[in-house]
Amino acid sequence: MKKLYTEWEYRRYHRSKLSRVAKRSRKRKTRRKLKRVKAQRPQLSGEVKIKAPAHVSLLNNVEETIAFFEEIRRGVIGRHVVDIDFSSVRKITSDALLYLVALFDHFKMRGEYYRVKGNFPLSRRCKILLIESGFFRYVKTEVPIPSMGSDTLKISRAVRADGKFAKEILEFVQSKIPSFRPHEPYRHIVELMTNTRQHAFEKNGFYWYSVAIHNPDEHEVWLAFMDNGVGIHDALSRDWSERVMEAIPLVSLSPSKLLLSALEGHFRTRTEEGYRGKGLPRLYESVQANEFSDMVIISDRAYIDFRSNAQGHCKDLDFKFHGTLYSWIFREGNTT
Amino acid sequence: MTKEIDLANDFSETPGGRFRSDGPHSGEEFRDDVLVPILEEYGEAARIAIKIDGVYGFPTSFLEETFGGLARKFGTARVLQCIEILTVDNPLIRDEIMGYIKCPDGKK
Repeated sequence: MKKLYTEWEYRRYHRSKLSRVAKRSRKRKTRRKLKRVKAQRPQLSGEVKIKAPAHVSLLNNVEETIAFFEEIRRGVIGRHVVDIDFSSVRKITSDALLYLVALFDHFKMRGEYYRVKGNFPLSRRCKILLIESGFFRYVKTEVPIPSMGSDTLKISRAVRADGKFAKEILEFVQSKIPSFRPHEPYRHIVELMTNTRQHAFEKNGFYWYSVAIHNPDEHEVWLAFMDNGVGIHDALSRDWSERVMEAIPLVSLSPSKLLLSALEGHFRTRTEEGYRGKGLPRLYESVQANEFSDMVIISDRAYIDFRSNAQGHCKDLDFKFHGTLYSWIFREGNTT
Repeated sequence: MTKEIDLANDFSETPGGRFRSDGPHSGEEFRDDVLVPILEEYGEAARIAIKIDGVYGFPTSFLEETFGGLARKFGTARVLQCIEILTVDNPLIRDEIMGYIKCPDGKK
């Protein structure tokens, strides 16, 4: 006997049926799409094993660390499975982890299909740092990650220049250094976010990254901020003599001296507008005024270190650093 | 009649970058959505008092695009006549803002 429905019951049954049909259809489409994507993926040719240096740090071992990252980059671009051996790492700093996360994001943004795997360092301290820095929020691991202490503000990543992120970073600093005043550092952090947004990226949005670590023994907070864009070098304008020099083979401008001139306030913004390009000189003034300590800037092949020299010790790197890294320390005696 | 604007409460205590495309609470947004409509509505008679205390920090690009941009649009003389910066805690920021208004093209 045919079941009779009321109009309301029929409509409800019909709606539910349509919804189930639509859901099945969506699932089928997703499966077909995944199958197509997998079929189109380039085949990876072989495995490359890369041994991490004992000291992985952009601030303290810049050449060897950048060379190590360059090996990873070449492995991915060469369509290999990259296997990183971290077991013999004795010291690792968060700036290097920041760069590694940025490197993986860069591959994703470029649409590179890659497989990178690795092991934990044998050093317990390094392993703790890997966990506390929030590194595993950006890479997969099968090892369960415990939540750990409050001395690290984990790696943050974003696209936009948002004051709320800067405030979060600086409130962390203020919680560890009560005398710290955030107004000037806030200005610099937002400027760095704005710079990366406006100058660093060619087409698609990339990210800026930050991490902060409190060192209770030294009563200081270390902060690193970086982006994986084109680097300051490409964002600066050159005067006519510099353009001539760049055009001559075997003659090259010193990247670090070019960057230092931008910090010192020589008109360098690529936009050529007089009211732009105030951020870097302002940052330089703050370094000179001891508003924060131990600043290091790495961009492209430029490395400028203010730790041993208040005017900035310049060094041109052998390998290119893809992006820009700013690192500095807040201490009790800083004059913010 | 003077229109009073509290930057921290009426706009944001965490100002952002220069342009809207940079992110939320940009200088362009504050200038075009808050200040320009008042200047256009009241013309030469417009008076705006902007209280800047309570803001977490003042990014250079935000200040320059807001006030330097205002001066580039309406002229330095008119902006100096119409805008007043109210502050107890940030006199140096007020001086900086005046600098951007007086030199909107960046040349001193």
